[in-house]
Amino acid sequence: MINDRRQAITKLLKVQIKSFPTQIDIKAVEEIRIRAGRPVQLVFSDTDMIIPECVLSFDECQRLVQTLCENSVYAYENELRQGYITYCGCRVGLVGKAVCENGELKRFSEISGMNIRIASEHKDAASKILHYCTDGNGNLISTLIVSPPGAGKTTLLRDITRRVSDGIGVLPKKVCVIDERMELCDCRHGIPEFEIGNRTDVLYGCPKAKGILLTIRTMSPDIIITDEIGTIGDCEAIRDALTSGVVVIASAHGNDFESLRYRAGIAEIIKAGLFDRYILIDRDEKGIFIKGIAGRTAAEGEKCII
Amino acid sequence: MHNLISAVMMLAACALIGNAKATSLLEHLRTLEAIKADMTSIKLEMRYSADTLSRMLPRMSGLKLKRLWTIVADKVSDTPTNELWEIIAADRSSALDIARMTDDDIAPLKSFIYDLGSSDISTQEKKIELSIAKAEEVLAARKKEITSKAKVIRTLGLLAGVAGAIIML
Repeated sequence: MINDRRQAITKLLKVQIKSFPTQIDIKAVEEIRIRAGRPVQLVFSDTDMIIPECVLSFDECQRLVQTLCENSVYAYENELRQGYITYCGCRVGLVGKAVCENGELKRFSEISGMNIRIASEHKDAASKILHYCTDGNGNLISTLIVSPPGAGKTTLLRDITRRVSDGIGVLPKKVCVIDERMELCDCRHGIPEFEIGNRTDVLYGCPKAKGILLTIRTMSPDIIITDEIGTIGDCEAIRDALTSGVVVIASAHGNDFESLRYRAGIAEIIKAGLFDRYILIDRDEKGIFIKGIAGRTAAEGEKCII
Repeated sequence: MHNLISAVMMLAACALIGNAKATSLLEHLRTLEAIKADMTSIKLEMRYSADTLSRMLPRMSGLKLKRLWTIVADKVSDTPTNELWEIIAADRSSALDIARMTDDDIAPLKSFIYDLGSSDISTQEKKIELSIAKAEEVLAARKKEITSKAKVIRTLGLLAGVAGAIIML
């Protein structure tokens, strides 16, 4: 699957970008950063590479975005308003000239750059971490996974979903994934392109806040999994889920536990001690590792390193 | 007796030829109506399903210009819609729905396809409404022309048949 994804993206870039080098092996590439009028940048886990001969013009950038939208821009309107598109499960972040209305991004009138983040599936990503999402008796507990951008939260959540759904290392549970950005599961025509387990239901393309409340009412989940909570609306929905007896495993951006206190919605959840555990992760050349774990008793986010 | 039979056959043949020609002209009119109807259906479906063209068009069983929309659905993921028209135009000489239309008749369809999928939903709808308005103008103008032509051709066919029949007799 991962190779299909990379192959699809490479094929697209080779067709759309005349100067894209054909001999580049993008197996280890994590991001492809494209900027109009400047060379393409490939980002690896520990380094990057600028390709001087590969420069897209402004028109080529617009055309590439059109192609990423399958020449149906109207179908991607909601995503474009949030500054991204999802292509083959990979998030493509966009920058350029924004057209705003009432302080909200309405659309881009010019797209001057994009960041194609190649999604990865690592089936062992959560093998050592899942244990910390349980109470020691094999029962899952509500957990917030915290990390800086690019550390592998989504990859981790994906593997957690699969393991929980199929009962690998824990008792199998009914899982509902709220996949707002369609990155976690990459559902196409309703079928997830990633392996996420046989007991998993996916609500994709729906804002997390609405999605969480909807699935609690209609899908009777044991576990809700969602990525990148941050807004007050997200946190209020998660508070409702946590107080409804549903276990929630979610992720949030942050460099450390301390930084969570400054994020309005998350700070309230932490203060109320609603999550049972907080796991801080990061990544090095060997993969994802745990930097710190804090429990409910450390409701103020006090670090407790294991 | 033979003359009578020949006269009747002459009358029938001429009337049928006239009718066939008139029907072919009216078919032209039906294609213009189909262009307008398909544009309206696609506009509604875009708003309702918000799905990409390649997935949306094959699902729409009510579209009248089937061959044309099949080409669009097959090619649109990889081909910008402003280049799609070249592919459709190249295929026009085959058994395509719009094969015998003039450039003026299909100008609204061309501008519709040209703008397809290039903007957000509200701008897209406005562009489609403009194309539909142009299609309605073309339809109104051609309807008068084609309907009266069809009548004349049917009448001429009948008269030619009568004249032929009289000559036979």
